[in-house]
Amino acid sequence: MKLDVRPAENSFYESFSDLIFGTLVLFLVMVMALALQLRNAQQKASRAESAAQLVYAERRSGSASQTSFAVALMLRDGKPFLAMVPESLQLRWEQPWSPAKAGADEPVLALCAYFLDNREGVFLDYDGFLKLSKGMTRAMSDGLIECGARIANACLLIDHVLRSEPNRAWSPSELAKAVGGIGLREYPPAGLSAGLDALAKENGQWRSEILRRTGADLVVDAIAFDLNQKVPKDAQPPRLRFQVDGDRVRVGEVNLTFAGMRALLRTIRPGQGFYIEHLGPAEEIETPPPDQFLREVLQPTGFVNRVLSDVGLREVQRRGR
Amino acid sequence: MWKLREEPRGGSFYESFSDLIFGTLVLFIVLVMALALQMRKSEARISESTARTTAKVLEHVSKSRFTGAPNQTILYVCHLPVDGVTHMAFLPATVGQGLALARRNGNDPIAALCDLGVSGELTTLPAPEVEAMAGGLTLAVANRQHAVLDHPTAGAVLHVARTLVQRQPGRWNADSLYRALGGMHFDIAQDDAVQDTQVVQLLRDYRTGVMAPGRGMDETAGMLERRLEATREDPPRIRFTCPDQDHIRVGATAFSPQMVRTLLRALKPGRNFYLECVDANGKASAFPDWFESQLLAPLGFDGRVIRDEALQLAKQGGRQ
Repeated sequence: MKLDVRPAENSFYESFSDLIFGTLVLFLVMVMALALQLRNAQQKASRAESAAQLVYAERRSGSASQTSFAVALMLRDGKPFLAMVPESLQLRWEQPWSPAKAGADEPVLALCAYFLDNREGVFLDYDGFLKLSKGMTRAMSDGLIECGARIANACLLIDHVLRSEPNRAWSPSELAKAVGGIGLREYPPAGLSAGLDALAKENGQWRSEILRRTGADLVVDAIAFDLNQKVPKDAQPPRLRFQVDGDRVRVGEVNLTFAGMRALLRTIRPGQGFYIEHLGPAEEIETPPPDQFLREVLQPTGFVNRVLSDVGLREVQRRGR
Repeated sequence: MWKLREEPRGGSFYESFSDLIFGTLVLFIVLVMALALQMRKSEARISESTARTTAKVLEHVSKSRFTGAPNQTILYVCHLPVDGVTHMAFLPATVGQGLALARRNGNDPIAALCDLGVSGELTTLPAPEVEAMAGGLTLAVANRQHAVLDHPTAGAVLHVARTLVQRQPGRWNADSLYRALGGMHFDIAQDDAVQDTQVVQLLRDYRTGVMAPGRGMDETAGMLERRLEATREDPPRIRFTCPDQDHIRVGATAFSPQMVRTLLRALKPGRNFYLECVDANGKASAFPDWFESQLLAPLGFDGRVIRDEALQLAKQGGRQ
């Protein structure tokens, strides 16, 4: 038998051709990968261009009304205190309510749920509250709302019950039942235990005494009088200014915890032109607050929108946006 | 005879194929080099563009000023019977809020309502047109639980004012109405101070008509709620179509500029709320200049919503 040997030059060209073909395939894959990368890069570039427009041309935010914030004044442990009441809760208490509107919307239940979620920072002593004034402009302090005797009583009694059993795990409905339930919407409150009734009466008398002593028509006038003594009359738009130092927030001359700052921000119903402003250690502007504050205070309270400067606004308008 | 010598066939094919493939490879190498060069240029352009954009973002977006709201958006309304059909009226937020606070000089919503009822500047929409607004709203601005706040006391005052001024235009004005209703403490739930027999009758009609179960809010916002169920997860938003002043729409409901003003005045914007402009095809479109200068800016809706991409780029830039 004889082996059929292929010619040598034929073998070289065949091998070389295979090698080059293989390389070509590799290059082809490379070209495809590069082309894909190029496409991605171009997409990124176009995204960067659209981001350059900065703002949505088709969206506007703002408000036609004035900024307001809600507190409730009470006698707590023999001293005047203010409870920070979310404005949405205050509004819910004042709406016509019928038993058909049961569930989480029931105003006493909603207030109990708020207290259980915010055990710290809801109360501020009266002098401390007045010391917030240096962090406010007059347009902000003029928006003060005092929630009235019913909500003040409710806050006082809820706090009293919570402090009398500090280790108990309450559900909102248990707490609402313990403080007298929907009877708290009445004034004077109905269906209270003797102890809570005495507390509510004492608070009511103290609030009446304030009106008699100051000659004010409403408790809010007495607080507003004291507050406005400390907030200079100016034409500045509504602002709340603060500084963050570690886990403390300084508003005016008061140091608040993050929980206290959350409670304060929740009282605010922002109106036309309102914003909150963080100041640096030497009260310098344009100092960003720490990330922890952004995460733990501003995001939960909904103050997450950044303000476009006037210069930026003009620039945007100039570019026809 | 000479015989031509032929090259082996197989060798010739492989040689030609090899040359062809080699040539193609060279071309590919050139192509790859060109692409690589373009990539480098593109990347340089992107980083330059990103840096420029970031710089712009950082220049224009305040690092220390924040807006927003902790609460839900509220739309203040009341209901009126007009020619036997329930209408929703937009109530100025200041009046709506005033009704929820202690009344006194400086906060007299009843006087404001009497003025409003007599002036005729009220925007009212019949129930079917309220329902037709659905295409421009989300549930977050139209649900009865949190967003749409109905004030029966306001509805009653406006109903009395409109009816009496229509019946006896010379006899009734804001002051006489205010007195007939018993002043600033008038409340539909306790109207003992009302003496005028016409007013008493109108209030009775209001209670049995608009305030009865299944009427008023159930006819307007109730219908709207059902239509908006699919938007439950969407942010609170009112979407306008505004090609010109005569064709402003919210959903399928036509609005005049004055009606837009009363709608915006009735709002208390809450968390994540924004107004939006879309074209006739529902595609996002910039607000026209006239809409911005005549309606949005004077009413305080001049806040710009900053793109998430812009904020992301600002973050990537390492500064916030």
